[in-house]
Amino acid sequence: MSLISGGIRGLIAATDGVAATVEALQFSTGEGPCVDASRWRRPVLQPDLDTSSVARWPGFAAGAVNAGVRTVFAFPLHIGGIHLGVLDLHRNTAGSLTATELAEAVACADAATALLLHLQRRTPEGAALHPALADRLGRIEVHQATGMVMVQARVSLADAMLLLRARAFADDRPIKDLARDVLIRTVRFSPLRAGHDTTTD
Amino acid sequence: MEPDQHLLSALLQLTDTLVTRVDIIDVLNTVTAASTSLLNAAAAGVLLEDQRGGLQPIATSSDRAEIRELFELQSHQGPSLDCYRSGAPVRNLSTDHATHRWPDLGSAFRTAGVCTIHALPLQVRGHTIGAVSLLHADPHPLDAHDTALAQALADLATIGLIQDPALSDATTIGAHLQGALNSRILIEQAKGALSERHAITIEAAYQLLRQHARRAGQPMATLAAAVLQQSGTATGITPHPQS
Repeated sequence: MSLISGGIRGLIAATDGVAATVEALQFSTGEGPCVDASRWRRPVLQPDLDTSSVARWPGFAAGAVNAGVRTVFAFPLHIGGIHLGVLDLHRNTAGSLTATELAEAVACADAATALLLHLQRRTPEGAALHPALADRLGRIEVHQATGMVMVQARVSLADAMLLLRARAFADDRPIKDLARDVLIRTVRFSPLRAGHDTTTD
Repeated sequence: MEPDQHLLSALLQLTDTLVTRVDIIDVLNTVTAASTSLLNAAAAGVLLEDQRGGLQPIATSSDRAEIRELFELQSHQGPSLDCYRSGAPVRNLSTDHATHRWPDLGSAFRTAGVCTIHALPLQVRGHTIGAVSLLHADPHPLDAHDTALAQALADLATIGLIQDPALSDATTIGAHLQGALNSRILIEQAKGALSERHAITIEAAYQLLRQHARRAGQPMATLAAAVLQQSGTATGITPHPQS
């Protein structure tokens, strides 16, 4: 298993040397399940690297099989357009994920997404587990408001989400309520100046 | 329009969307709109299995928060979840009956003026992957004809979702649906960005995205991703297209 983050452009965690090898192969060849998962914004499941995937990822597949890897399942860690990384799971025997295993992998991916979001800057101490920021799947209002704040504050989409979270935490109220205020335009976020977070009501 | 004309028009619109472009979100939104008009539902939603033990709405006929909530509340309880688990339609459920089984959900239905609820399964290659939820504001039993029509619309939604014949087992289908659910979030984020950038409503932003996506022959999610890049102004999406 390994966790990579596009933002940090590197391997964050790998359970063993084989995992690290798999990631190194994807970086050096520029191809592979995690590259595709990032690009296509959906999980890429390859239950047997020794077959048709050789044509799909000629450089990666051969190298991975040599390293003893037969399956790779790549899960993009994203919230819409906020792309935080990819979770790669691999096995040394061929075979698909069962439905239960898929659900477990998705749960892992959720946890990894929450972790990576927390590791971004501007998340206040203790905020990651605050009840105001619960509701992992988010509400549609929060996603719409994130897009608005991105434009208002002239920041990236990820930073826009973090600004919303920080404000909800500071105000000690659910993020979906803050999001509704953003949508009806009673709360606006201004572009940041010299590190000072300015918000206007 | 005669009822048959109405049906024909809705079917043509749906098949046009299915055949000309692969845009899952556009198809599903069209299905919910067709479900309300052809079946006289006050609101319709498409919910998908979320790999987290429940269902997640991916399309709703109305973007109003109080309507969307009626489908979001069905994530872990309710007729759509029953339909998904059993693979069988739920027909002619009254709000009273719903309130007995699921007090919070029933109460939300009542407050919104919902009287009758139905759910049709989304099924592909033997797997149930979600449900279409129909909410009526009047006592509205679904007769055999309407049931067949509702199921046909659900089947069209499934065709739109699972176009690739290589998607044949529950796992690959489940993974595919995760991508579709994320596309929906992408589009919602882009709606917010376009709304703010051009000082238009969220609904107008959706129509703008949809028009430009059709013109470009691309799925809305692809265009939405471009809108959300820092240099999103380069996409050329404006409220006043040239042609």
